[in-house]
Amino acid sequence: MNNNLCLWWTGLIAAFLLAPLLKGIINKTKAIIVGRRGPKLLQPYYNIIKLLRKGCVRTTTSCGLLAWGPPVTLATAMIALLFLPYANQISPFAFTGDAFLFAYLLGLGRFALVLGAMDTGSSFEGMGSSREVQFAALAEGPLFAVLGFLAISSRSLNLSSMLTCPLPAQVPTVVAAVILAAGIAFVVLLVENCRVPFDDPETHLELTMIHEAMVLDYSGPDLGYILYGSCLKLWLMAAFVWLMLIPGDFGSPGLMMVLHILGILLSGVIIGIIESVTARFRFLKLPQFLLGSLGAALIALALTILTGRNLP
Amino acid sequence: MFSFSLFALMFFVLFFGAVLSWFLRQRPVTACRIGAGSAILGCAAGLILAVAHLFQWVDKAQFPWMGLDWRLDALSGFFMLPVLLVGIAAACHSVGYLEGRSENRQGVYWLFFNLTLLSMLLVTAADTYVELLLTWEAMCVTSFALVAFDYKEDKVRHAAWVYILASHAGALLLILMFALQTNASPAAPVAALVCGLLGFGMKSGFPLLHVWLPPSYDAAPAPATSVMSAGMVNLGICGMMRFLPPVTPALIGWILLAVGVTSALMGILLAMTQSNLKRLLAYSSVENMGIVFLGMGLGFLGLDQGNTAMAICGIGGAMLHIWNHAFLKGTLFLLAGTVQKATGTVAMDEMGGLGKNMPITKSVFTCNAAALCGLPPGNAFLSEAMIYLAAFQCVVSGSNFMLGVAMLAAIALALTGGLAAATFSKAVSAVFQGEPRSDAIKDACEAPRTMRAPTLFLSGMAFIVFLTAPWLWNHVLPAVLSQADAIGTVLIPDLASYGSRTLAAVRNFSLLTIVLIIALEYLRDRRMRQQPLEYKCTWDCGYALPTSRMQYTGTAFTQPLSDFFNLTKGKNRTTQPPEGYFPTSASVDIEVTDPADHYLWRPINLITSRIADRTRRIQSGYLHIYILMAVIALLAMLIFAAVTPTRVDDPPIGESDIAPAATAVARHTPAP
Repeated sequence: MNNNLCLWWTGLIAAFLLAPLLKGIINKTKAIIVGRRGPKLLQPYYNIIKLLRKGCVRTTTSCGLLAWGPPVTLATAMIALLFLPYANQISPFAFTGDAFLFAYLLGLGRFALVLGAMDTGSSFEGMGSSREVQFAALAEGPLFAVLGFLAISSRSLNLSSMLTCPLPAQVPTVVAAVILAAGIAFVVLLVENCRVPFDDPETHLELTMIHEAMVLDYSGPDLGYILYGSCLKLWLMAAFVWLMLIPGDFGSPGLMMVLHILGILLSGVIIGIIESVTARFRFLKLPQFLLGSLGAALIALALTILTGRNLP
Repeated sequence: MFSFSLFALMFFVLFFGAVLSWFLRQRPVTACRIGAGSAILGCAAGLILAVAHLFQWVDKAQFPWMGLDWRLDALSGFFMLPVLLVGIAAACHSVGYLEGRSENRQGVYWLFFNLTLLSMLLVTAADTYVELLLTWEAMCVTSFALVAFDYKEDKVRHAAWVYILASHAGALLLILMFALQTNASPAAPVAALVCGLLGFGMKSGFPLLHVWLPPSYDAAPAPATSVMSAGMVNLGICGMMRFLPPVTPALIGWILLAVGVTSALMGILLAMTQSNLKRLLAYSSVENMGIVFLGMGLGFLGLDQGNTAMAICGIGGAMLHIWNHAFLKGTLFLLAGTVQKATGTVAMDEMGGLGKNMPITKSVFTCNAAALCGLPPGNAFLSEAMIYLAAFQCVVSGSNFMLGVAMLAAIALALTGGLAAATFSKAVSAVFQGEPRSDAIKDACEAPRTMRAPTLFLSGMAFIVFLTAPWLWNHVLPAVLSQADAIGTVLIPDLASYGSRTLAAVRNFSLLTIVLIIALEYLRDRRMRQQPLEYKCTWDCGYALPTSRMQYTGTAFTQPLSDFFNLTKGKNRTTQPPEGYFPTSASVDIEVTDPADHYLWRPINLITSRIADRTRRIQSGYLHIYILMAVIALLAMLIFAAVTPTRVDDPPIGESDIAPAATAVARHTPAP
C-alpha cells in the first residue's frame, strides 16, 4: 500500500473518530457566542458511550421495525463515507456512478428512521416524520443539481474525481458557479442534518422539531447508534461541501489531509455561528426556500454548461 | 419443434383448464383445484419456453399455427417471464383470496384468470399485426371480465365500463396505426407513430390516458390486479418494440422523455395523496412506467446523438426496470390482497397496527416497498442508477442543450425518488404500524400459507434479479434488444462493454450495506443482552393514555407535501373547524380527484353528452318525418353526384383496397 492510499485510510479513520467532535464544536461555539461555558468539547463522545452502556426501553406498540431504524441509519452513513476522496486521493472504492449510491444511501437511512418513528404510533413522531419526508423529498432536487454540476465541471461520473478535480481559477464565472453550488450543497447539509434554519435540534418544544421529534422514543444503545450515525452524516456532508471548495491541485496530499480536517472542523464553527445568529424559519417558508435553492442550483448548472464545458 | 410443442402445451393446459373449471363451477373446490393447477402447470411449461429463449438455449422460432403466424424469441421471453412468474404466484394466492366467495363465482374467476394469462402470453408471441390485434383484443375482453368480477358493486361496474372503453380506444388506435403504415404520404409514418404510441401507451399508463388504471386496479380482485400490473402494463412496451413504424430515434426519444417525466412526477404525486392502498399502488405503476419511458427516451436521444454509452444505459436501465417493477409491484399487489382479505378494507386510514398480527406480510411488504422506492439494497435502485448514468453520460459528450435537458430529467427522477419514499413510508406506516384505528381490524390474523408463499416466492425472484443483474445485462439484454427491430436500429452489440461494472459495484456495495446492517444489529443486541430491555407504552412526551385516534393517519402524513403541490386544497376539501370554547366535533373531508379525469375527460364527456342531447331532437318518433329526412338525404346525394365531375384515372375499388393490406403483410413478415 503506497503512502497516498495510507493517507486516504487515515482520512476515513479520522472521519469515524472525529465525527462526534464536530457536534461538540458546534455546541461549544454556540455556547461561547451566547456567553455560556457550555458543554465540554468531548461531550458527544461521553454521551454516545454512556448510551451504549445503558439499558433500553421500547414501546409495546412497535411491530419490530423500530429496532431496525438505528442500525440502518448508522450503516448507510458508514458506507457512504467510503466514497469520498480524502487527502486528494481517489477512493479505492470509487466506481462510475457511485455518486447516485451516495445520495440514495442517505435516503435509505432516512426511510428506516421514518419507519422506526412511525412504529411508535406517537403523534409527535408522526409529525416529525411527516416533515422529514417532505423536506427530504424537496432537497433531492438541489442535491442532484449539485451532483450534475460537479459531473459537468469535472467531466467524470465518480464522486472522488468529481470532488478532486482542479479548478480553473482564471475563469471568474466558473469560480462564481463553484461558490454558488457549494452554497447550495451547504443548504442541503443543513436540511439533511436538521440544523437551523430548517430544524432546531436544541429546542425543548417537541412540536417544532423534526429530527429530534422522530427519535423521541429511542433510548439506550438505539439512541447511541442514532447519535453516532447523525455525527457521521454531519461529517460526511461537511466534507462534501469542503471538498467542493478546495481545488484538487491545491497542495501536497499531506497538506490536503490537514486542510481537509481543519476545514471540516471550521465548518462546525460556521454552523455554530449560523445557529446563534439566525432563528428557525417558519415551516411553511421552508419548501419555498428549498425551491429557491433548486433555482440557484440550476443557475450554477447553466453557468457551467455555458462557460465551463469547453475549457481545456 | 421444442418451441412449438411447449407453446402448444402451454396453450392447451391454460385453455382447457379455464374451460373445465367453468364447467365444474357448481363444485367450487374442484373448479378451484383445476383452475389453479392448470394455471400453474401452464405457466411452468411457458417458463421453460421463456427461459430457453431468453438465455439463447434455442434459436428463435417462427411457426404457423391455427392459421396464424407466431414468433418466439428473446424479446417474447423477456416479456413472458414476468407474466409467468407473477401468474404462478397469483394463481397460488387466488386460492386463499377467493375462499369464502359465493359458490359458482370461483369457476368464473378461473375461466377468465387463465384466459387472461393465456392471451397476455400470446401477445408476446404475435408475429404480425393480425395476431397482435386478435390477441390484444382477447386480452382486453378477458381482463375486463376480471375487472368486473365483483359486478354487484356500483364502483366496480363503473371501473369496468371505463376499462373496456379505454381498451377499445387503444385497440382502435392500433388498427389506425397499421392502416396508416400502408399509406405512402410523407406524414403517414409520423401519424402512425403517434397512433401507435397512444394505442400501446393506453395500456402502459401514458399520462392523461392513465385514468382507467387506478379504478380498475382497485376494482379487480387483488391477484388479478397483480398479474395486470406486473404483466399487462409491460405489454404496451413489448408492442412498441415490435410494431412501431420505423422513424428517427430523435422524434421517439423526445416524445418518450416528455411522457416519462410527466408520467413519473404525476404518478407519484397522485399516489402520495391516495388513501386507498390499491389505488396508491396503481398510481405508483404509472410512476414506474414513467421511469421506464424516461430511460427509453434518454436512450433513444443517445442513439440520435451517437452517444452509445447513453443509449445503452438508458434503454438497458429501462428494460431492467420493467422486470424490477413487475416483480416488486406483483408482490405488493398480492400483499394488498392479503391485507384486504384479513381486514375487509383497502382504506389505509382505517387500518394500522397490522404488523404485530401479520409479521411476515409486514416484513415482505416493507422490503418490497423500500426496494420499489429505488433505495439501495433493492433491485429498482440498480435500474434507476443506470438511468441516472444515462442522463449523466451527456457530460462526457453531447450538445449543451441535450446536457441541460438530461440534467433536468435527472433532477425530476431524483424528486420522484424522494416523493416515492414519502409515499411508501406512508403506506407502510398507515397499514402496519401504530395501533389499530378501527375495531374491525383488531383481530386480523396472518394469512394462510397459500397466500404467504407466493409473495415470498416473488420477492425471491426480485432478489435473484438483483443478484444476477450484471450477468443479465451482459448476456440476456443484448439478445433481447437485438430482436426489437421495429423502433429504429436498436442494435447494441457492445452492451456488455458498458454499464455492467457499475451494476456489479452497486450490487456489491448494496450487499455490503446489508451485511453491515446485520452486523450492527447483532452487536447492539449482544450489548443489550447484558442490560435490561423493557417494553412500555409509547412515551409520547409523557402523555399517559395514548389512543389510536391520536396517531398520524396516512392522509395527515403526506398532507404537507400534498398541500405544497396544491393537490388537496380548495374545493376538494371541506373543513368543519372546531367552534366555540368547548368544541364538540370537527371534521375534514378531502376528496382527491385525478386532474386528468377532472379537467380533461369529464369536460369531454359532458360536451359529448350535451351534443347528443341536442341532436336527439331530430328523433321525433313520427314515421313520416323520418321518410322525409331520407328523401332529402337522397336528393342531396343525387345533386352532389351530379355536380362533382367523375375522375376516370381512379383504379377500380377492389384493387386499391386489397393492395395496401398485402404490402402490410409483406412488411411485417421478416425475411426467413
